[in-house]
Amino acid sequence: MSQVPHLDPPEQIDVVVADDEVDIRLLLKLQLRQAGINVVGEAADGIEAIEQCVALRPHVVVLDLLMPRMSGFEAIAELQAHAPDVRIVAYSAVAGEFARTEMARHGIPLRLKNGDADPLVRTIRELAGHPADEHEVR
Amino acid sequence: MTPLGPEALEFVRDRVIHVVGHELRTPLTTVRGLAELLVDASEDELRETLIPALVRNARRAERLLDDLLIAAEIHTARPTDGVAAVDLAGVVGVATAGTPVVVEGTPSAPVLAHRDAVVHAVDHLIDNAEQYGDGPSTVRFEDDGDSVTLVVATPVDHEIAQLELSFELFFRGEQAVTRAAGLGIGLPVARALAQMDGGDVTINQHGGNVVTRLTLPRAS
Repeated sequence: MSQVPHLDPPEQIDVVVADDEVDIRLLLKLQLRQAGINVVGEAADGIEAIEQCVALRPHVVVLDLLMPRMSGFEAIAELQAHAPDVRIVAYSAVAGEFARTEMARHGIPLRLKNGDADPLVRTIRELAGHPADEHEVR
Repeated sequence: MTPLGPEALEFVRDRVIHVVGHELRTPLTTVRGLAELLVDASEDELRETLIPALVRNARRAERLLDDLLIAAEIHTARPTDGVAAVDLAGVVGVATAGTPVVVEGTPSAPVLAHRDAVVHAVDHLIDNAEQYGDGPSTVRFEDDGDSVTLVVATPVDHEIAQLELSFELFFRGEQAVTRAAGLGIGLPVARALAQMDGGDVTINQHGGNVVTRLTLPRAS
């Protein structure tokens, strides 16, 4: 079952980025900032991602799948239980069959890590209830 | 050793391509993404954030290539500098800077080795200690008059089966596969580099620690 986009689109989209790679977090902060998206929190593993999402209630969490302490795969159920209003987009260097199947089962969009921010930005906007073409990414 | 059949070879080939692709993706994603942000960046952002991150990630991709070539025993990535006295404490100091790894004492003598190879091997040992410990690792030095040994003790709260498999190319422990980045060639590469200079890398587990030892010839 797919996640339902936020029905009342926020003026400002708030996002938490969860990735154990500090430079990927840096890149995402800069790319999302350039796209007009507000990164309100960062997490380096699944446990921190849950803590940040519960505390900050962002519209969307960008969730890496392979992380120490608690992986993104493990964090999904916890996020859905404790922060059900936070939409999830999986962002991974691994998009093999297992990751695709698991994300499809949870109705979570999966975006492959690469330098092009556009697909991720579009997905975040869609999950936040914004029309896809409302804010063009350069 | 029994030769692998076609199906096993295909599995190994797929596995290698999979992990190499995964490990290359992070630095390349970062380099491309940051490069596209350079145009609009301020001077301060360029100097303090973007350029250091670009260099870090380009270096990471370069190190990955070196690792693959060394692991495959392709000698084009072997150090081209000569063997010389190398200050092991200095190398360890750089590798552990900014990490929770605790360095206890200093070695009584330098080692005789290729400096680049020592840096590369120590980086792998410290990287493993950071990634796979259940607490902060400690580093100490031993000297038997002929060789100097760097001893890295990494606390682990469980028994690790078949620890020697860590020297198999592309082997990754059960936890590492789902929870940490890495190619699974750090220890075999460190061992190959040490052996090139007449040393070795060994690993065992006792007293609640995984203990990795890098031994190199004493310089004097």
